[in-house]
Amino acid sequence: MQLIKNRLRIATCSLLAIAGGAAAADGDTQLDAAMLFYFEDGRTDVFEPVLNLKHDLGNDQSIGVKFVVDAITGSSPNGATPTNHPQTFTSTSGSQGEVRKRVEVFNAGETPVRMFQDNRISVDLNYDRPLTRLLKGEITGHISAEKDYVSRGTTLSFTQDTPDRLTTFSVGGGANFDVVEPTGGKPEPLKNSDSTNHFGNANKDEYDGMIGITRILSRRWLMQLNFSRSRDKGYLTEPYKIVSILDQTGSQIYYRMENRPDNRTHQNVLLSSAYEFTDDVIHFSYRYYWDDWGIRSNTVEMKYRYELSEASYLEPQFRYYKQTAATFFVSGIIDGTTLPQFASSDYRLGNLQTTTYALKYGFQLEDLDGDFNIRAEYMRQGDDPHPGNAIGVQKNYDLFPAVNVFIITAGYSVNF
Amino acid sequence: MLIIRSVVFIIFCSLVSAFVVAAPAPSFTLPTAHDSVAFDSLRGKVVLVDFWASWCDPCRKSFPWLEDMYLKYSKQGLTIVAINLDAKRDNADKFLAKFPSDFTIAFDPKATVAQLYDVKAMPSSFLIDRTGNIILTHTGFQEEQADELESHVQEALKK
Amino acid sequence: MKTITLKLVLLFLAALVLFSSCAVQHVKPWERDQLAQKKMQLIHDPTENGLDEHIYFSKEASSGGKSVGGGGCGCN
Repeated sequence: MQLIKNRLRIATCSLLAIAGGAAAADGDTQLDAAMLFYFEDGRTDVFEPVLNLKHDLGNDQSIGVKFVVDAITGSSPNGATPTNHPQTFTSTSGSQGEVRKRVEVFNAGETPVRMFQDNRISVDLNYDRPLTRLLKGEITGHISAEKDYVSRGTTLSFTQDTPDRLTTFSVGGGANFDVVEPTGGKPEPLKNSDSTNHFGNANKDEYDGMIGITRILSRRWLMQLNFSRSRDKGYLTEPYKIVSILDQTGSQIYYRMENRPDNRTHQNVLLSSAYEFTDDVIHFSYRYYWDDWGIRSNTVEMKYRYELSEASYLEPQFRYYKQTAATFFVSGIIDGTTLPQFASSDYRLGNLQTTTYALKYGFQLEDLDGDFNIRAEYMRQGDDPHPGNAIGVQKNYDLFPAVNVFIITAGYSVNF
Repeated sequence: MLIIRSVVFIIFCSLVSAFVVAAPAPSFTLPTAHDSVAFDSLRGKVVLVDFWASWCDPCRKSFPWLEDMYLKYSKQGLTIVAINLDAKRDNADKFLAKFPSDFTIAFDPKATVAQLYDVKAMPSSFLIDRTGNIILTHTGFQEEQADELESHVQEALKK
Repeated sequence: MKTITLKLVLLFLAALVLFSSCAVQHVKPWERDQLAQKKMQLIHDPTENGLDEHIYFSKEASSGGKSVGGGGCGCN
């Protein structure tokens, strides 16, 4: 993920800069390595190593490269809601041309899930340089691939300081061109899941832009206000997810493939702040999001860097997120009624709340250069088990059982 | 009438000062590690006054270059005074332990001299000729500008 | 509607603080020592930020705000 970043280094020690993190370097190259282990409630496991390298080319120019590998195994809800009888699913897996079938049975009241296994590799490149004494530019490129998805993108951003260097204006834009290659092909929208035909690949393009203003408010306080807007076009539907079709009592009879609009425009306003008192730093941010699918969300994030000593710190982190459902989010559709144009039961488009608590510990080792850090995180996602759009017998079941996630991150940072 | 006269006087002075390219460098006396440095006693030499701090990244890069200038031109009459603006002396000492240098390091923790020189960015260097006038002000440090700075130093040393 | 208005008012006030000169102390170039620290950057751990953004992008409907671009994924 490329950023209009805040970095310290410009020839005249300006506050803000572009490529994150490489301040106070004794050598020309900065290495950041990290590993993430993610465990979701007996469902999904993710192992994700990251390697980030940044090299100072002199004259305030720098280049960087980042490698990320994502190995995910597990399951996620397939969109079918729990009902008053067992549900059976035959799922496909494997790459195109070598499709394997698997049969799974879920009891009454259980939320059906779909198994998946995926490996994703991504590479990001970035280059930044000053254009004038107060203006800096950055360009990035991105490519990632997994068995059913390829993403390619680029971003261009600029930051302009005022002569007194108390204010920075930033502007940036990005474009992504993705190809969705679902296993077995793309299903027909809202067709019966047993009889739908499948077609090949689909494209998804995203364009986004952001403007921001950053202000130094005092010797120990700065704030930033960003506004961004994005437009997605193309195949935005989840090719494997389904919607339950119900009888008059709300009991599931069969399924249809979900369907989402082929475009989406979303906006964000983000206010962030960094404040230092004594030696400790408080980071705070608030984001408001809204899009034309009817989703609105609020995100609050806080991190408190507590210095234990010269060489170690403790950093508790907290995040609270709440979103409202998309207009076409349904718990089910009664058979025989007019089919809506768009429908999805993907819980990620529903009324959702995520609460995250984390504690990070950073330290240095005596005989080894560089900084280490380790973070333990607990994330809980859930919402109203009986949403307003539940139909008939659906109201008897918890349609949104809470999800508990444990995450461990370990990182190492060195300069040479 | 008084107001009009004052305004005309001020305008006249501003116009005159616009033509004055070289302004006299503000005088100062600052402590060094074991002694002190008095700017007035440097008259007759070409002086490069550089304002730096331990937390400033480009300042790190400028130190090897300053050392290089010192070694090359001190015999011809170049004096370098690197004025440190760290609020805490400790931080400056740690930096100097990593970058030992032969030129004069002075300490200005309250930034009184920095204000006299109207320092606008970190680092800032002021090249002062043998008659005590500032002939060049430079903010920041970039490798590609180093050669140009050096040629200005050589120019000043010739006079 | 009320909560949206309240939020917009708060954001407007924040913008006012940011834009108005009176609220801002003039910080001299040599007073930038604290602001120069890595931990005072708004995204002070970009690697961690990248990992977190990816997780939330996969599990929530909202995305972005801090950055432009960034790769998509077929995150189930």
